[in-house]
Amino acid sequence: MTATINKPARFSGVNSGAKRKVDTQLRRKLGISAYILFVLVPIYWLLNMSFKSNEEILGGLSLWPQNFTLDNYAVIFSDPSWYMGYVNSMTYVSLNVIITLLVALPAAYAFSRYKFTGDKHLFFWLLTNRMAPPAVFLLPFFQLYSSVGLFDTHLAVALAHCLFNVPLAVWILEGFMSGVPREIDETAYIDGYSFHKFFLKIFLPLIRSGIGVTAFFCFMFSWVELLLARTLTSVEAKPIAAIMTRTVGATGIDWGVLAAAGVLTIIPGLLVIWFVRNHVAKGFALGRV
Amino acid sequence: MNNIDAVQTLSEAKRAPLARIQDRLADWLPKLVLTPTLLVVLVCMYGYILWTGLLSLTNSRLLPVWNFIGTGQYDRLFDNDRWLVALNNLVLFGGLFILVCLALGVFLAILLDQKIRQEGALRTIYLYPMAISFIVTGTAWKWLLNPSLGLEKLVHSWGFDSFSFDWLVDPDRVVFCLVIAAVWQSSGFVMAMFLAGLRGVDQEMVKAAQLDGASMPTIYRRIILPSLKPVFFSAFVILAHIAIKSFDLVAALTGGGPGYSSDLPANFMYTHAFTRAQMGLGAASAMVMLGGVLAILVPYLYSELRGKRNA
Repeated sequence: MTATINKPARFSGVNSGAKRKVDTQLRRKLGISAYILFVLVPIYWLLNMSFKSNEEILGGLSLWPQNFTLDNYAVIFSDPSWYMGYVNSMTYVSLNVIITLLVALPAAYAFSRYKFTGDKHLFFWLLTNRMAPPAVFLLPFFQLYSSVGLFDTHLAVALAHCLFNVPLAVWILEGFMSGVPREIDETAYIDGYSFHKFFLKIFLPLIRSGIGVTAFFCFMFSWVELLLARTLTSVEAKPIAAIMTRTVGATGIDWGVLAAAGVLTIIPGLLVIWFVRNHVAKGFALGRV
Repeated sequence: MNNIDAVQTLSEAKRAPLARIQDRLADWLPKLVLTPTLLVVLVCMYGYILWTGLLSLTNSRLLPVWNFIGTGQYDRLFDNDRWLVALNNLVLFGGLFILVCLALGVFLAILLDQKIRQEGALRTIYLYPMAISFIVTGTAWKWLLNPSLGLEKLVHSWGFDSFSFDWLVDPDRVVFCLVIAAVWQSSGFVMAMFLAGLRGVDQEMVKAAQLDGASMPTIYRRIILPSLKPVFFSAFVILAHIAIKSFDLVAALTGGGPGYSSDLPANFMYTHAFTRAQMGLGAASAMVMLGGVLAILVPYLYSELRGKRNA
């Protein structure tokens, strides 16, 4: 990624003359632009719809709103059954990220710092568990939660998502922790740091980008997961995504409000991606994620 | 001298057990730290799988009844037309989705890997769809693909009245709508994986090939793509996993319709276990899905573990 690495592109110019170079560059730009268009059109469409009234949406098609209106957003922010969906989603997602990090940090430290028999296999096994389809866990979770009174609480969804997020978090964190030289641990002990002081004051700040990436992936998984979240809640903790599908089934479709709700669910993801965008590249470079 | 030696051996003798205890502690500590996590994963994962497996052997309907009827639910499952449609859809949807995502991902990664300006910004844009839930993806695409609201109407309003694009309401084509929306969501992620892989390609080898006069397409075909094999493999596993557990996309984009022509196994499972009071049948379908994941995962595990032994 530094300037010393010669990318193949430079050589293609040497081989084939200036005209062809311009040609390939043009084609490259075309390809990338086409894909960007493909990525952005649905999002634009959603944004466009969210500022239109239902009559306009159904009446005719326009590339931008003729009568710009914020009514759809007003509906969401004034109707508890809508905005509580966001509050519920946010609550269980935050709970899940906190629990996952608390469980995964010590586990990842153990995997990265200690050698013991079978550690590689254990590590890999932990990760493969994540691949099991959530459908297998639906019925047991549902029955268990119903019998202990956890059903329809934020904690229920957060714990269910932890089952998938903890292995992932251990995996990502282990990669970042292994990047910290072991000498730092030893130096800290010699300087008389106790373990917990070392871990909190020295080690965690060193891997904070790793923690950021982990939190991002846990957030993303939990924010977009629907099957478990929808099954394990009914009223009190119903996530916004489930509310959006419910509206589809009812009396026709309130397109405008649905679009506004969609736009609002995108925003947290955009914010989180914006904050971690550089760290994510680092995570990919480590081969994790 | 003797005295000093004696003192030394004494202190060593004293220290030895202490050191041994410390060694043993160092050996036990990681296991102690890991035990709770592993235990929870073990109990939840395998306990729950076992629970679902047992349920699938009973004739439970609205509530679990531990009345075992053997493999009756599986027989019913594979006689069920809706399940066969769902399986068929999964094969079609999964196959196309994985293929298009891989092809598009490699292609975009190669385009982006040419030191173009604003690479960081582009990479961020490509990652954005990942942050959007399948529900929102489904909602947005439902508009674009809806004949009376989206693309078809747009093209009609431009004057091309014969244009028709009604895949969303065509039972034979509706699966392709799922593929389009799913590719939209996941191809950026695949691209990022390949981009990381391309960065790891040995540049010396590429330079050597160029000095030998190999053209760029040849270099890509013979050197770069083969060295990306592990990335292909892990991307395939991740995409296959996404395809098998797809639920939200169908729920939002088509609701399984028209009829049940766009159902996927996860939707079948949810419908039967929670809204149609066919718990045993739902559990059986979940177990079949697990079997599908295992069929993909086991070769992957095998190659991964074998690779470690060779290394």
